[in-house]
Amino acid sequence: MVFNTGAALLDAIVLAVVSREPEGTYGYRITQEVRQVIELSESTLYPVLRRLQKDANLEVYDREYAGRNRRYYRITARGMETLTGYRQEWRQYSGKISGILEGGMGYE
Amino acid sequence: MNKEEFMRELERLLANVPDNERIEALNYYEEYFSDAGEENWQKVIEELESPAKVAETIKDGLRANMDTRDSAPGSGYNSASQSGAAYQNGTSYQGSTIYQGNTFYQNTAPTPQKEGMPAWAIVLIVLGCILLSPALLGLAAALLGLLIGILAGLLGLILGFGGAAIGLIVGGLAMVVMGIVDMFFTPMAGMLLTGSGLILLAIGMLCIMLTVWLCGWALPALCRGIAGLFKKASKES
Repeated sequence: MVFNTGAALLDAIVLAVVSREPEGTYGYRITQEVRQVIELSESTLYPVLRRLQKDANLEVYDREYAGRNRRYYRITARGMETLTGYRQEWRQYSGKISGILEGGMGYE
Repeated sequence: MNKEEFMRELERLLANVPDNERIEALNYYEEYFSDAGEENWQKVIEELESPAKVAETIKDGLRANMDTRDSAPGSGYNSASQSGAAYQNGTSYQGSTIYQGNTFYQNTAPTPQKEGMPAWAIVLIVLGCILLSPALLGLAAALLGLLIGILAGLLGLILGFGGAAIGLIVGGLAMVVMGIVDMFFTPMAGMLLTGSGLILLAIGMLCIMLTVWLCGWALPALCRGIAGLFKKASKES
């Protein structure tokens, strides 16, 4: 991919991916889903998840799976607010960029 | 390198990370391998590149977490192949904290978007601040100096009066004692000495009262005054 993914955009993508699972989802799966849309090293997501958790945008809980422990990430109410904010920002931003790149109708 | 070696090496590299963070990270990657499935371990190891790179990413994350509040906006990181390098500048995480501030939600209100100040206005303000800063700093320093001076002066007064009081009382007492002893031999001189001693004692007591008053009333009053001044100043700015 030629375009960079900024930290805020990556946060938004991770929050969006996690928010699709009301029961929560786990690190490996989040990584695979994010990697379907952007190129990403497998080691990139751990610090992002850890920080979103510390900021209380995500909460974690452990559940047993196949005889071992698995950590699940679930979006919090605060995380939903953050995500809503990101979505609005994204609509404006992507609208303006599309407007100027494709020469069609701008956002405004 | 197999998975066990990878994890052992990662644990070693994280030795200087706080215990809870190290355990969190190791558990995450342990689970990550499990969820990937044993048949994919080699692929995962290749994709993670090296324990050193993973450890660096974890540490950078912890650092960035600590200084998100005062670092400059991050430049973001590039595509996957370059992400590790970009994280090393420690500013990549900046974005999110900005977006969690109040300003973010104000911006998302349904009111028309307020376009930011034109660039020239910002430049002017910044320039003004830079040009004025020596004067403002000088003024602030002068004010601070004045306040410290007043405080020190008061402290000096207290010490001076206190010292004088002690000296006068000790001296006075000595003179009274000597006077009484003298009275047996030369009654007139003895009485004079005793009288002078008593006067000194009285002045010493006055000094003590003054010292106590300075400590008990004037000093706190001055401190309150200074605090009030600062409060007023911070309210105005």
